[in-house]
Amino acid sequence: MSLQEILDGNVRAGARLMRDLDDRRPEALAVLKQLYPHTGKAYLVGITGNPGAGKSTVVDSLIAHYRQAGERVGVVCVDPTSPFSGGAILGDRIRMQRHALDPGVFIRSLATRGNLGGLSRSTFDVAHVLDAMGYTRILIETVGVGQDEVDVMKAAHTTVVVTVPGLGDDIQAIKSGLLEVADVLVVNKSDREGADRTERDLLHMLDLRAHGERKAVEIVRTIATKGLAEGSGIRELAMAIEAHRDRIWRGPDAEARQLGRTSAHLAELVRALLADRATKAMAERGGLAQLARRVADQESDPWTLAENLVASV
Amino acid sequence: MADAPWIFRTYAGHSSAQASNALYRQNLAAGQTGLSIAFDLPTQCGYDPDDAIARPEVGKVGVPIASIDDMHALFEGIPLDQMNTSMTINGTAIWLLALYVGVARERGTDQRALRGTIQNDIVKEYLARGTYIFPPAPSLDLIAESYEYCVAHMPQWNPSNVCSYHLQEAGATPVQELAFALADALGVLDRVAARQRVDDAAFQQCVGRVSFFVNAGMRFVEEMCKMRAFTRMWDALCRERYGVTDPKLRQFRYGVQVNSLGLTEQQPENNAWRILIEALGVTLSKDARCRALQLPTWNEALSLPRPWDQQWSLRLQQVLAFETDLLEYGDLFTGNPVIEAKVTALVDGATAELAKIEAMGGITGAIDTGYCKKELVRSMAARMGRIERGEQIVVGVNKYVEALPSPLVGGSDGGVFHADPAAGDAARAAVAATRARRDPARAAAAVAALVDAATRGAPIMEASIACALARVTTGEWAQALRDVWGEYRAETGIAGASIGGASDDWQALRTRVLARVDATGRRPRLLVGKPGLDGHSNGAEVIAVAARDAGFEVIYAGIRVSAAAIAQTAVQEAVDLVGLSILSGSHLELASAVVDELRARGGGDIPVVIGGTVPAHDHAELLRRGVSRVFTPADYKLSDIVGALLDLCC
Repeated sequence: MSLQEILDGNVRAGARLMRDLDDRRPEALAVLKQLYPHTGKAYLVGITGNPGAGKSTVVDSLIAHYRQAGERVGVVCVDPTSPFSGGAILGDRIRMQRHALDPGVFIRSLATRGNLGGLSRSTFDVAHVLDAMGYTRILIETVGVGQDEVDVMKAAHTTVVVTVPGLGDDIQAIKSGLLEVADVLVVNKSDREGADRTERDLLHMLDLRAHGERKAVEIVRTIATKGLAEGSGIRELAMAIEAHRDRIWRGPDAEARQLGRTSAHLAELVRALLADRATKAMAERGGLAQLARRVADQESDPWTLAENLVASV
Repeated sequence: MADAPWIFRTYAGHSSAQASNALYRQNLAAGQTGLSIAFDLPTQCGYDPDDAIARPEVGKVGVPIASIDDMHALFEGIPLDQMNTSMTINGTAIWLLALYVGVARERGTDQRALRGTIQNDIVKEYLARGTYIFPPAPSLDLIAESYEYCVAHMPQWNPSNVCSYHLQEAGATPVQELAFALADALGVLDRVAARQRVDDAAFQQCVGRVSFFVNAGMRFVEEMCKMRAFTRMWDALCRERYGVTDPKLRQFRYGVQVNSLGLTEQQPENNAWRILIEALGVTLSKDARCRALQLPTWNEALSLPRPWDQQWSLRLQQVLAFETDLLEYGDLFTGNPVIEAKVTALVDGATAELAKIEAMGGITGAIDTGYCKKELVRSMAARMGRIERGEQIVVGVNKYVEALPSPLVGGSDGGVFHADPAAGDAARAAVAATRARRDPARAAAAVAALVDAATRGAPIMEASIACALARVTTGEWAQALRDVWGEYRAETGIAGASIGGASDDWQALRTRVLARVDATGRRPRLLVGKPGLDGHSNGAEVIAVAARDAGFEVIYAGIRVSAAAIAQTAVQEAVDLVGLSILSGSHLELASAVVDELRARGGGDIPVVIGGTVPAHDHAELLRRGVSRVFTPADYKLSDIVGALLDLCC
């Protein structure tokens, strides 16, 4: 594929590049590096939250909203890889199928492939390709997470955390790590019983967490299955995202925040590359099991072994 | 004196209202005692025959009914007040009932004399059959309204059939079938109660109007016990939950279509015996005997049946009812300790399962969370696994496979039905004629009144009858309501299931996938989807899960996807292979469309495979049109199928 095809928004070429990046072909990385100067125009919105909270439906309705506003929308949806087989079922886009034929929408599914934090390693690579292809609004849907380890979402401009009423007696399902990254909180399926209580609990948790000045986090109620109809809350959600954008990315701290985003991305890349090398180094020494055997046989203590291994990479 | 036999029906309809009418008259003359209308998929999903998504499907799996004019033609020469008519219709059930009432009114027939049923069960559409349109809340309200309306204005009509039939086809065990169906029925009645639009006496009548549509499989002793368990549990639920005092109103009334899941493409003549045995399960016990019986045909796993095939199945019923002494005795099994123990075990299992569903907020909660769907996909996967491993014997499939060639499939038509290829044109001409001759102002006003009623949450039955009389079309009626209520996408249930166990075949397959990943650096990516309107998703779901368990990344696009959308998805996802599941008989049109759309998008190099009921004589044509491989029900070994998919991925 040529650079120009990608910049022209050729779907087949862009999709193939994404596949090659996901499969971590070195030649694809070379293309990505060339694309980099053409990126930076898109606004990235991360969507995360509990399993079953309706994230895909929220994304579906947001696509409809941004399309109505005339934006070109790229979507990256991530589903978990089965640790058992290495396979995955990527079914998020079923909920977005009505946009399948819209030339202004590009939806791409990825499997985590062993990566933690609810995203696949190639997520931001794929987002960069979408950016270079001219998609100005990029929605990134993580796997259903209840735990922390969502640091990587700091690389998005605005992170939306979706929850639903009725997850249990309290809202512990939204763990503090998830709350930490939330720029906007969504109570989806808000026509269900318990929506008031869920909202109250969220407010309470935000207050508890606030040491000193409380982070401005809007809570929006949605019924995402209603699409853009009156009372769905999707327009309000989009407004909350825009408000966050104004506050942060058009505000005085924008430059510092941008540096923070880039740092997060860079740190992630460095960590991943180091992990690759460590894995390779271990493989060259017969693999992790073999190394563990040396510890078990008391040939070495684990600290020295780890230090020596890392020193060699 | 012998008991009267059950109602003999045959599920029938194809091509056009006129052709189906001729078939019904022929069947009635052959001794059939009721009608069972099969509608085509556009009618079931609420599209007119000239709608783009409907085009390949018109007249394929049933009759197209786009307006009251088609309904008149369908019942030409058949007196409605003397007929017992069952309509297999769900998403658009209340509309087809409105058309039926409309025909009665225009003929001057008293609508209170109409007898029969609309299937009108949305739960199993979400779980298994896929012809739902609207979200659960308005869908359940439509069913509740059917009860309110029928009890007041059509007292001999069954407003819905609670269907466990499709649950068993989707893999349900007897306990699941019992629990899910009863939870479904309670959901309907709870809704009627919550709406408070009928008084207590009328509510008790509503309970009495609940009827069921049940499946019966090859384990016919257990199936008979299942019917007895149904009878026992339904009586108790009506008494305890709704305080119904009249025992007649607590009767478990059911019709049956016996099992198609167990019918085989291999040695298809054996299916004749299977159908007979399945029929025994629902007729032997007087206390739990069906009210109406429909039998599939010996060649259902090959394609759609011909009139002669249907006549052969009808004759089975007649031989059973009229030549044997079956109807001369009381119940043969009451007090039998073996039967009693089995029934008790089923009741206990189903009661526990029902309690679980109740704890999730009843059937709507259990659907919303995906629980029921997950359990069904899991049961189906387990069944496929047992057959693959030879633990469950299917004669001619995994045992006694060697056989002489069957003369039944040797005829010039290959032993299967061929739908009229011109049916679509005729249906499109008919709907155009209806639109041309109606009063446009009256039609528009009728639709506006319908939208108004739906928006206010008011009953829509009378407004729908007014639409029928104003010659509003099926597509117009459905679109008006889609605009008010939105369209629904059901849970897929594939997340929780697993198929590939630790058997040697699967280990070997996973090793092959891993070797490919190591050699090429590529993990195989497969797109699975169902083009067209057919919603029977079990096959597609099982393949998706099996491929995942072998190590594929599977993009599951779900049901009712246009050929263009499948192609666009394949290109955006940069998949290695596209797998289509098609059961509606529209495989030639749909496969061609997907191949063409892929080429138009620069994805012509992505191979396409098809799985489904594809008759042998169409295989060569599909390959000629660019399909790489065809899988049929004869390919039952999932590890072999997925292995073949892997070979195509390079």
